[in-house]
Amino acid sequence: MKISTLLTDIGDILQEDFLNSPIWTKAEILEYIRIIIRAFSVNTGIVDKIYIRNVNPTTGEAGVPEDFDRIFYLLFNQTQVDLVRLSDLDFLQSDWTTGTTGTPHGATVFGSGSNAVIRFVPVPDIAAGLVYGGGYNTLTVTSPDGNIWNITIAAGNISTTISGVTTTSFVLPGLTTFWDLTINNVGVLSTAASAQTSADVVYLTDSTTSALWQMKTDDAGAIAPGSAHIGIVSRVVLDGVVQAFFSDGSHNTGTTIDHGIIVDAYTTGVSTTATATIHLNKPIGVSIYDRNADDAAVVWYKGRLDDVVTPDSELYVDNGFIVVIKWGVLALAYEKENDGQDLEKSQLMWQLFTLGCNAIKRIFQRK
Amino acid sequence: MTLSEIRSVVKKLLFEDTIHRSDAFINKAINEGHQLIALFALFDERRTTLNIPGSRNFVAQPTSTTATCFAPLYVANAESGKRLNPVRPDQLEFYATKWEGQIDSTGEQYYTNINPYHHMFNALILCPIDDSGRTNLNIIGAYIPIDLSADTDTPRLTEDFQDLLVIYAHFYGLISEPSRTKAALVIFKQFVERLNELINTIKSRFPSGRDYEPFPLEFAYAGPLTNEKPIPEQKQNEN
Repeated sequence: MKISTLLTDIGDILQEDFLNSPIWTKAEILEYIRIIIRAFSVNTGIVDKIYIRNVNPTTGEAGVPEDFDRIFYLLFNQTQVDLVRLSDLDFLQSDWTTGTTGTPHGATVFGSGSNAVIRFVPVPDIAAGLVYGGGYNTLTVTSPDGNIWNITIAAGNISTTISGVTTTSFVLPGLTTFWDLTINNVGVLSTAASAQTSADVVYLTDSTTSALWQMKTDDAGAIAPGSAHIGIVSRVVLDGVVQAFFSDGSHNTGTTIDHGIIVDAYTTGVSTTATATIHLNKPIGVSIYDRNADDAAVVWYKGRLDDVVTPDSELYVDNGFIVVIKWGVLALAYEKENDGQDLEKSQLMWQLFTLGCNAIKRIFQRK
Repeated sequence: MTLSEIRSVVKKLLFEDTIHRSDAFINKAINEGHQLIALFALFDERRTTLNIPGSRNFVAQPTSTTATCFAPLYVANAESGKRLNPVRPDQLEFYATKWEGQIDSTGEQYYTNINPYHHMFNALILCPIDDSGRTNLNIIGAYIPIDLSADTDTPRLTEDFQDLLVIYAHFYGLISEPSRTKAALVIFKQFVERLNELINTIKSRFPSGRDYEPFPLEFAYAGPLTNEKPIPEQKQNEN
């Protein structure tokens, strides 16, 4: 659901049109939504994420992603590693603090949130960086006006910048089809049906997090909306304007899935300049690793829903679940000290929010 | 009942409470209630065949038109008819360590589910992978119904429990009006009681359980709106 739609729904209940001397502003409600989707993530425990992490070969420690809440399944070299309490590491290996190496068969987590650290015991003797076999990790695409664009990712932000390096043509794989990766004159990426009968293996390395992403599409040229594991595509908005996205010049009407690899993006700066950065509310693709050299950790953890940034952002939560989020937002809105304050109603909505989160958690029996 | 019939009842109830809301507002309330009930009661069960091309463990949950499956209730291989057993991720290790990527001529035997909150992230994780390179699964799942939009549209919820939509929309209207919190609480309690009847009805149809089960809601409001006196302690009989 678009955040703007959710804002309208909540405004209707608050009897607030956000126009004439508003009691609540859109910015306030947006902030409440941010707060509540974090609480919803933690209280329901239904946001599952899977990430590959490097293990430090000296300390046996691995960091966690920024939205880490709690871990529920841990693999090293594709094999499960038991998660135990800190004090129980002594039973696995009494001198574990000395950094003895071997094949990890236990691990613990200390610290909280993004500062948490996973410690493997013993320290893996074959810990290595993520290795991937072949493929491209420098992406350059030529726009119709002849400029060569370099595509990079840093901390989840994808950028297209003009570069002077030699371009390469990329063909992205769908399940059974092939798509040419193209770019327009202002740096907006898209795909077009390819005449090729084979695809390239295309990777992008996040320069900040070192996450490795593989770029794929579905058989419509879009990343399948049914599978985030190969990414999704919805729309590109530059400076608040939906961009032309097809090679034939037509554009997204908001009801169809566009071709391309961009997800819910927005820009800062002037979008007509070559260096405009497209920010993503979520990364693209899926992190991968080579099965023959995967001496790294795979962390399955409870994370949180992505922050919503603007009214144009998409809240990736299905109807039904959104009702519970709405209850929480109303609780915060009625709590605010203004002419619309209603503490009784706020208290009722808080209890409904808690009721909803608990019910969801119970149905899905979260790990 | 059709959407317009339900809306008429809701409108009448709100009118009696001197609350006047647009048709669009009431439609929104009815749809929200419909989808919320689907989530808590798992009543909107549908059968879908899911085609899985290639060899992979992770597959997306099925969709039906634009309704989305958020919880599988029964999963079976469409060719062999064998049921896939639901497990937690760590239980996949019981099949084999390094289970990811394992291919087996017996076909899929286990599955787990992640991210039920949105159809783009909701995935089945199957183990092992069928060696045919292509699999069809029959999935009976719980769906979130799409919005009722035309006046003649009818809810997926059985008619016996469509009063739930009226009750929720009534609550939705009350909560949008100042100084009606106490009335809203009373109506919401009715909603929970009736919803629990629906949930119990669904559970009684499946005494052996399904892969995901609804649970009755436990709503005990604690706050200033109830004037209930605390239950006095029973005096001990000194004799």
